Amino acid sequence: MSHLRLIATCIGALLVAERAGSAAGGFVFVRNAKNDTAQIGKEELKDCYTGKKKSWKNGTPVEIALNAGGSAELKWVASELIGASDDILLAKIKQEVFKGEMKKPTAVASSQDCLAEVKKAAGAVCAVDADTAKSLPDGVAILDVK
Amino acid sequence: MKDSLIKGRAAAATLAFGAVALACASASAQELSVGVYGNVDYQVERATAAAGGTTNQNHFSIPTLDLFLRGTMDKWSFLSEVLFDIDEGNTIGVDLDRMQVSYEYAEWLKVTGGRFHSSIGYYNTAYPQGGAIYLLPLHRPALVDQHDNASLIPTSTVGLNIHGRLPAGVHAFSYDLDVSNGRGRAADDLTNGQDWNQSKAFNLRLRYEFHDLIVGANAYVDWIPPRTDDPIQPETLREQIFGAHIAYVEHPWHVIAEGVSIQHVGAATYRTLAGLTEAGYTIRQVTPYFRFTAAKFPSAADPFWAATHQQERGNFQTADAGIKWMPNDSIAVKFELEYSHAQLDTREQASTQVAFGF
Repeated sequence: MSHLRLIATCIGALLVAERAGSAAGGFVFVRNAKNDTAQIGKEELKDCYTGKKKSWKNGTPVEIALNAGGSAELKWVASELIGASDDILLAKIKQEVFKGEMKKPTAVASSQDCLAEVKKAAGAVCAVDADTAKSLPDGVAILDVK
Repeated sequence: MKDSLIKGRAAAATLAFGAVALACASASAQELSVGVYGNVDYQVERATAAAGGTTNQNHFSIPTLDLFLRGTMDKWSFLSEVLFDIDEGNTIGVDLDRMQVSYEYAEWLKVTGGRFHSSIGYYNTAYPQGGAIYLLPLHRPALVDQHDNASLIPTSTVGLNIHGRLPAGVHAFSYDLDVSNGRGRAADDLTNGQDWNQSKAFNLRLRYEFHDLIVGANAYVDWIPPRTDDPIQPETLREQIFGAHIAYVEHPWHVIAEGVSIQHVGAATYRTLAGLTEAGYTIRQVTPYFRFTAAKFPSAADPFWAATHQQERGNFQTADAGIKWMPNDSIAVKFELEYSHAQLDTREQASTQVAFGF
């Protein structure tokens, strides 16, 4: 019985450690601090990235700052929002631009580019790694996804 | 002479495209995106006439090259699509498929003026003609196939579109109202610069969305002017199009179904019924798909279809099955088999396509 308890404790400890590790190496969405949408549903954010939702609550047009294809950030965004690869998300975005349904996203090459773009554009949203998000510059805030 | 004129037009269009791209690239306050789309096909076909006799052919083709420009400035946006396509035979034509300027006041009100794809059904606005890379099958279905001006619905129109979307949680309603010049005297006569009659075409499309499921319907009415040089259509025809559609196109599923009733009302009423269903499921980079299209024409020849190709094969049913492989977001490779049975003939095709979008 005590062996079973020990195994269960070890498995529990491993799961906690695994979760802590993924949080430390995870990503978050950031927004311009002037954007009063501090929290958003995953479906609604997906709509922002695929051209269905065109403006925030305050009327500011949605602007997507997109990390490079193949980057860890974009892979995470694609997996979180549409449950697919970054290629499929990029193809979907290009299709919506072609249809005329959305503005072409701004390409960002790094987390610093991403923060600079979000600071500059009132409606911008972008993904950065969790370490970068620990010290956000003025004018940039976390976009909490429900 | 015609060839040199087309070459001249093509060169002018290319130069204009380049000039606009260069001019706008330097304007930092604006956003401009440039896209190039196209496809290269190879097809093997066997056609058996109902009266007897079989013909075989195979060919490479370059159906379309699409130069796409889109610019935005605050709530204003501009979009144009210059299409090089093969109209008939081997002649490459230049077509300004879309040219529109929009003002988006809010999500519930966007006004667009210019030449745009009419808001009829699902396919016509979801898959613009030049973007073969985004289609599952090789080509747009017969209902909206602009090749040789053979589409059944008026795919492009010149006028105004008013669009809005009202989201409410996981639900959303959207509307499109088109007020346009409508049809010309024939299906290949698009009223780009002049409307031949005083009346306008009106189209209303309403949609309900639940998560990613779209259910919609539309009603369209237009008055088609008579062809004074052709005794087959000496009078004004009232065109009425009623349609419904349902679509769920979210990774990994792709399901579309739509149907229309097209009536041309003059001394007699001619009604054409047409529809399609299309389904696919994506596994990693590969999507197997299936499409079925059918059309039923009036038993007497519809005078409006007489000048073009819509009714020349009679009633038809077409089934396509294939595989689409996307190695990256800019390239699609497709393999497709098609079986099409019509009153006049039966066609069997095997095709492959490399489509690109950069």
